[in-house]
Amino acid sequence: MSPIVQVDGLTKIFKDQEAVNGLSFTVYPADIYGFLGQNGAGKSTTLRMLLTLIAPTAGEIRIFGMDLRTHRREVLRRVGAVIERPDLYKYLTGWENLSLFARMSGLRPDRRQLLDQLELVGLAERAHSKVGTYSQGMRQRLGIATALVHDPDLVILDEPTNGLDPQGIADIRNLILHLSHHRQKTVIVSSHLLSEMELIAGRMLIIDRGKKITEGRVDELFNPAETIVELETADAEDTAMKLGRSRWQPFLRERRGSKFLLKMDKAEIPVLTRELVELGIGVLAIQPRHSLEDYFLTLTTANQHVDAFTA
Amino acid sequence: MILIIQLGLKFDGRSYLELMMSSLSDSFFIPYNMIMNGYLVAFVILNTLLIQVPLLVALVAGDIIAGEANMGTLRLLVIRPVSRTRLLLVKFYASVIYTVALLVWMALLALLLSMLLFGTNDMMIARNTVMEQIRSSDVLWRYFAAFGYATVALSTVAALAFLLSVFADNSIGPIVSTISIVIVLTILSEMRIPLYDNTVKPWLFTSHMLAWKGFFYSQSDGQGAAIPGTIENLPAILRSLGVLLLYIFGFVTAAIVSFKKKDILS
Repeated sequence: MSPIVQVDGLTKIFKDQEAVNGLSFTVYPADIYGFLGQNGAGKSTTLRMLLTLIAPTAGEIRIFGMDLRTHRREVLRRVGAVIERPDLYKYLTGWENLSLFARMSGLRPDRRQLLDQLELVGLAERAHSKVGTYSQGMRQRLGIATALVHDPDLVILDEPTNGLDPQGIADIRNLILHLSHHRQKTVIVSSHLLSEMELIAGRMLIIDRGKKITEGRVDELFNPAETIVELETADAEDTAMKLGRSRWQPFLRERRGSKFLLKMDKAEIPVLTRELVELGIGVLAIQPRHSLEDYFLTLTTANQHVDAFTA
Repeated sequence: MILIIQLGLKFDGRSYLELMMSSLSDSFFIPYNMIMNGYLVAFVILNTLLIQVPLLVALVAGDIIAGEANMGTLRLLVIRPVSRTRLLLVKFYASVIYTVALLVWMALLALLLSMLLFGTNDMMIARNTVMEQIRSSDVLWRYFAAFGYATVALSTVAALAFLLSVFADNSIGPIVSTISIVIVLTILSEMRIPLYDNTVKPWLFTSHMLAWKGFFYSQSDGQGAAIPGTIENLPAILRSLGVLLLYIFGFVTAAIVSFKKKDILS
């Protein structure tokens, strides 16, 4: 299967700041490719380079087998994208915005085509309202409609669920799944929410400070048995001392005030709970956590964090 | 603004003319009623407004790229399969169309309305110590030529604002910068400093923006009468036109080169 996107050694340096450093990854057809990283990790910069908004300092981008530098227009004709907020023309209606961007993509869309796109994103009833009157979620969906209006093969969505309420997030998630499963679109979607990515992405790239942390199939990247446990106790100093001397010391990852983060198998949580009580530690709360930040902790080695407890 | 000037001149035009021609009234009999006609009123209005119209042009041209960046729509335009050069040229054409529309509107209000309100007659123009009379039948084409020239002159301002707009992410900067540059260069163009007269001034675009007035200066015959259908110094007007066109080309080319290299971060 030939890849849709091939990125090799992509680097972007702004003045003296390295935003992306030697990033390489591959995206295959009809996949939903998750682009995961914390804010400022370099996700948007990378996606902007894929769309020619930013020129790379080094590296190569091939999309549909074509060099992006020399085949910009041919590539962009087959790509639809929403980068960060979909800021459309607020004084135009949804219909007019869609029609405008369709024409900018070289199309002369008929009424049916525009209506189909608006129906796909659930905006047919508000098609003739000014975009200024739309909610954030509606603007996001209209942004996606403008990205899809020329029937692209590759769809790039940068943080499409940012600022949306739970229903809005679910709507966008379902739309992305629909595009991949029913319309055979290849979708690259970025987010800083691990839980979102797990729900939709087939393969995922995790970046931090512009560098690749890992890449692979979502079900291979995450060990469902392993987790980060957050422990909150009544006496943090006493807990730090007792845990530091116990057999749980190698599991400790980080201390945040009165809270401690431990990396362990879920199955060991009952054992930990029992032994904390035996050590005389007053437990206020103990719960598994599931965030990107916690995932980064699972990737680091124990030695990097032990010092925080023994110093 | 045009209507205010027209109303003022309609009700107290004679006082205005007496004030303007006070140095000549002792030597000549001046038929104020004949002089105060639609052609002269339009000339007065254009002299007043063509200094302020660059502001209106800068408001639109300075916003045309920076405004898109500010709204966040620039990135949506740039990721379409259209070259950045074409995108920019279309945007510049839009600025020029606005400039033309503005001038057509001014022509309708300043010239047509003045002709209706004040009627037409021979046009008298005071030039330093000389009074030039242009026959009524010889005036209209001069206005068309002047408006055509003004389109190029104002397009130069549009091109400057357009260039500055490429570098900014909000409209205020390019608009204020354009106006500031036009004001500073206009002052420099109008100052009588021998050092600058032949070295700097001929190359400032502001030195050429008011050359449209040249269309109203006729060649004179042996008796000092204006020869209909002639222009006193057409080569000078064409030279000024050439300088302005060069500026437009330079500004737009610089805008395209910069925009092609620009990282769109807005």
